[in-house]
Amino acid sequence: MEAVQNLLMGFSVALTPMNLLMAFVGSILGTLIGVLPGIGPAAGSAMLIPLTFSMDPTGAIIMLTALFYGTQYGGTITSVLLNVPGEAASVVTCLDGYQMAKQGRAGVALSVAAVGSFIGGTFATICLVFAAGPLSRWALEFGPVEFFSLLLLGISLLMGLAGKSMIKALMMGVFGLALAMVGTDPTKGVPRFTFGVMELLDGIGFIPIIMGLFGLAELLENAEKSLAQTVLAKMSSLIPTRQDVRDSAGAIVRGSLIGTALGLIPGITNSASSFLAYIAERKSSKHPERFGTGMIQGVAGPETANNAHANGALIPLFTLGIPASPTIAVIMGAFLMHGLIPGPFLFKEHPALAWGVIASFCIGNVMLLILNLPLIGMWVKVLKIPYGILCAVIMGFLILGSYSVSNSAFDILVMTIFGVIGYLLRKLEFPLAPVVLTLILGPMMERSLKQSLEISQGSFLIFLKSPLAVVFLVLTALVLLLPSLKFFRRSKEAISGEEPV
Amino acid sequence: MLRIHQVSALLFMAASGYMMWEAWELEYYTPVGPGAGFFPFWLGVILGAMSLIWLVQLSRPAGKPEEGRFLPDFKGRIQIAATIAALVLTALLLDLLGFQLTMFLFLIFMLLFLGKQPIWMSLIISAIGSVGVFYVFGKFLDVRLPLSSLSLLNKLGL
Amino acid sequence: MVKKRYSVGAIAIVCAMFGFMVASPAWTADFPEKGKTVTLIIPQEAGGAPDVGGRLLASGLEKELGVPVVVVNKPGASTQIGLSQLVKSKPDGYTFAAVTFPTSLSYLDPKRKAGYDRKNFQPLGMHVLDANVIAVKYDSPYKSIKDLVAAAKKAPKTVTASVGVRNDDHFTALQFEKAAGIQFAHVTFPGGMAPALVQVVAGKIDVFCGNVGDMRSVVKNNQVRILGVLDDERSQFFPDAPTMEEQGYKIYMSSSRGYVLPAGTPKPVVDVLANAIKKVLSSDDHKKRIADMTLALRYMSPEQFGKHWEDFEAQIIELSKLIKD
Repeated sequence: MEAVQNLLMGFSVALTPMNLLMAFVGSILGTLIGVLPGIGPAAGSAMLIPLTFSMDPTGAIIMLTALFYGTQYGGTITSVLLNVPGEAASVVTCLDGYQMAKQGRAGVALSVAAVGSFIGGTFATICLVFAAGPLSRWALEFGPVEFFSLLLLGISLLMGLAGKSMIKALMMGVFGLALAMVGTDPTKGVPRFTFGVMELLDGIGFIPIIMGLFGLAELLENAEKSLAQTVLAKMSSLIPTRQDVRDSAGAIVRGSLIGTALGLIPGITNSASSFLAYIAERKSSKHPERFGTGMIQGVAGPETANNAHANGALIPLFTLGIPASPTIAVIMGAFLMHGLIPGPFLFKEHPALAWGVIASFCIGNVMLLILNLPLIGMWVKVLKIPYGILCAVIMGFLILGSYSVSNSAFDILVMTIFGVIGYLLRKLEFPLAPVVLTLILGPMMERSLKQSLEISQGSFLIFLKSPLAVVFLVLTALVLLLPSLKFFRRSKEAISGEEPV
Repeated sequence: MLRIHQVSALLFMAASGYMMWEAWELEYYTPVGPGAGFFPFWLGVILGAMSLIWLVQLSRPAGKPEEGRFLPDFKGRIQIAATIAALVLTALLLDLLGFQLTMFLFLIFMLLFLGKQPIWMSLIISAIGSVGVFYVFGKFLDVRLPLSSLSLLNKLGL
Repeated sequence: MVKKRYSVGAIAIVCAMFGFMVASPAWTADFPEKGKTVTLIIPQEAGGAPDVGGRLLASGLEKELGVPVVVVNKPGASTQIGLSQLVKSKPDGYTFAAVTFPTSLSYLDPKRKAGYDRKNFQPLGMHVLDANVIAVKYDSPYKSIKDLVAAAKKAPKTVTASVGVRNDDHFTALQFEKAAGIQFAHVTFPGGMAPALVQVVAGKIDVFCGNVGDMRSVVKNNQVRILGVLDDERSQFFPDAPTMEEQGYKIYMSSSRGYVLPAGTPKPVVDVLANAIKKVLSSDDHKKRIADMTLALRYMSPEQFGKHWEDFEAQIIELSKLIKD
C-alpha cells in the first residue's frame, strides 16, 4: 500500500498551518469567484499567479488548485437563487435548482449541491491516488475519432430532454447547433454567419448566451407583472428531508462516476459533464417528465459531476504532465512559474510537494463543504430581498458578468438579445435545455469530425477501425432506435382502437 | 395565440432559408471531409423541415396551443421595453461614460422607476453597485472596469 | 415631479462628491504624468503565456515609470479586438498593447476585415521569441528529421501533423513541407496547442508542430522528443535538440511577442516607454521568471522590432500562398 503511505506523507505536508491557511484562502477565493459571474476559474487563477511568486511553491499550488475547484461550489449559488449561471458548468443547475428555489427549497438545493460537490471532488481525488495510472491510459484512448463518437452519443440523448413536444425539442437542438456555427470554420478559418462583425469571429460567447437565455429571460417574464412585487419566493427548510437524501444519493454516485470519467478525457468541458449527468438522471428516473419542475436529482447529479470533473481533469496533469484543457493549462503555468514540472517526474523529484498538493485536494474539499454549508442560510436570505431591489441587483450581475468574460460591451448586447429570444421562446413553450446542450457539444463535434477525417484523409471508415468508437456508435443507434420502436408499437395500438394519437 | 405560433414557425423557416442561402456561399465539401458550409446548410434544411412539421401540427386540433394572452398588459409591455432599452443603452454607453457612471444611472433607473424603491435606498445600492464594484474589481481581482473615454469625466476618475 | 427633481439633484451631488475625491491637481509636462495610469491592452485571454508575460512586464514598468500600469484583457478574433481598440486610442503613450506574431498579422487576410495594418502602429520593443519545434512521441519510429522526411516521401499525406489555423504551427508545417518536398496530413486544432499535444502523446497524431514553450514538461517526462527547432540557434532550454538549419533545412518560425503604440505617438514618449521596457527586461528577476515559463527572452529596440515585423509580414505573405483554399 505504497499509495496510502504516500498519501499520509502528503497529509503531513498539507496539514501544516501555513498550507492549511493557503487551502483555506484558495477555497474562499474560489467560492467568491464562482459566485461572481463572468470571471471563471481560468481567469481567476491567472490573476492570482503573480501574487504567489513570493510564496513557497507548495503553498502557492495548494492555493491555486483550491481556487480552481472551489469555483465549482460557488457557481451553484447564483444558478439556484437567481437563475443566473455563475459559471458555465452550472447552467444546467438552473433548470431544476431555480424551480426548487421558487418553491422555497433553495436551501435544500444548495445543501445537496454542496454535499454532492464534496463527494464528487473527493471521489476524483481518491481515483487520482489509487488508480491514476490506468485512468490516464483511459484518457489517452480518446483521439478525435473516439471523441466524435462519444459526442454523437451525447447529442442523441437530446431526445431525452424533450418535454411535451418532440419537434420543439429537436428544433431547439438544431437552433443550438446553428448558434455554434457562428464564428470561423474550424479548419480553414473562413468567417461564417458573422454579419461582418469582428466580435463574432470567435463565435458568440457562451456565458452571455446562457445569461440571457436563463437569467434575463426569467427577469423579463417577471417584468410582465409589477416589478415592485414583494418577494420572489417564500422560505422554508434548509435541511434536506429523508426523501431528498434518498433521491439524491443515486444521483451523487452517478454524478461522481460521470464527472470523473469525462474529466479525464482531454477536451471535454465540465459544462458537458454536468449536462450529461443531468440527462443521465432524467433517463434513470421513473418520472422523467417531472424534471424541470424542481427535482432534487437534477441538482445533485450535475453539481456532483462538475466537481468530480474539476478534480478528475487534474489527473492527466499529474500523471502525464499534459494539460487536458485551457483551464488546466493555466494551472500548469502556475507549476512551471514556480520552477516545478508537472508529470511523473514531479513525484520523483518533489514527492513532498506532489503528494502534499494531492492531499490538499481532500482537505480543500472538506473546507469548502464546511465553508459552504453555514453560508447557505445567508445566501437564501437573498431571496427575502424585495423583488424591486433584487431585480436591479440581478441585472447588475448580468451586465457585469457578460461584460467581464472578455471585457467587451458587445457581450452585454448579446446577453440582451438572447434574453429577448429566451423570453419569446419560453412563451412559445420551447424547452431551452436542448439549445444549451447542442451549443456546448456542437463546436466540439464539428471539430473532432473534421480532425478525424483529416487523419483518414476523407475516409469515414476510420470510425469503424476504433473499437471504442464502434461501441459509442452502436449505443447511439440504440438510443435513437429504441424510442421509435416504442412509438411504432404505440401507434399500432392506437390504430387498433385503443386511444387516438 | 394560434396566429403568433404560426408566425413564429414562419420566422423559423425564414431563418432556415437564410442559413441555407448563406451556407451556399461557403465551401460545401473538401477532399478531406465536409467544408465550412456543409453543416450550416444541412442544419438549415433540417430546421426548415421541422418548422414545417410544427406548422402542420398547429393546424391540427391536437396541436393547437392553449388559448391565452401572448403579450402582457400595457404596463407589463412598458416595463419589459424599458428594461431592454436600459440594457441596450448601458451596452452602448459603457465605454463612453465609463463603468461607474453608466452602472449608477442604470441601477438608479431600475430601482427608482421600475422597482419603485425609496430614493435613499436606490442611491446607496446604486453607489455600491457602481463605484463600489469598480473598486473591488480593480483592487482585489486586478480587473479594471472601463473608465470614461471622455477626458472631462476621465479626469474626475470616472 | 418634485420627487424626480430631487433624484436628479441627488445624482449630481453624488457625482460631484466622487469627482472631488479622485481629481488630482497634477500637471507635469513630462511623460508619464503623476496620477495618470498607463494601460496595457493584452488582446488575449487572461492566463495564457502572452498574458502572464505582459503582466510581468506591467509590474516591472510600474516601478520603472512610477505610475500604475493596468493590464486589460481584450481577447477575441485573433487579437483583432484588442488591437482595433489600440488603434482608435489616443497616441499619447498612456495606452499600449501586446502583439503576438503571426497571430496579430491576421490583418493580412482580407476576409477578416481588420481595418488596420502595420502602418497604424508604432513598434515599442520585442519581448519574447518562442521558436517553433517539430516534435514526435518519445517512442516514435522517426528518430530524426531524416527519418521523418523519408517516411513522408514514401507515402504522402499519411503522416499526420498537428497544425492550427494560419498560426505559427501551421506555417511551420507548410514551410517544412515545402523545404523537404513532402506532404503531411494536416490535422487542425483551432484554439490552442494543449489538445494537439495530448493527441501526440497519445499516439493518435504523428508529428507535433508547436513551440519550445510547450515542451518543458513533456520532454522532461519523456513523453515527446524534439526533432528540430526552427531557429538559427539551439534553444537554451533544450541544448540537445538540433536546429532545422543544422539538419539542412533553412526554415525559421516563431511566435514573437512584443509591444506596440498607436502610430503618431510623439518620439520622446516612445523613447521613455521603450527605455523603461528595456530596463525591465534586463533585470535578473524578470529574466528568471520568463525562463521559468520556458520562454526565450529576446529584447529588440523599436527599430529592430519594426524590422522584424516587416520581415515577418513578408514571410507570412509568402507562406500564405501555400495555403490551398
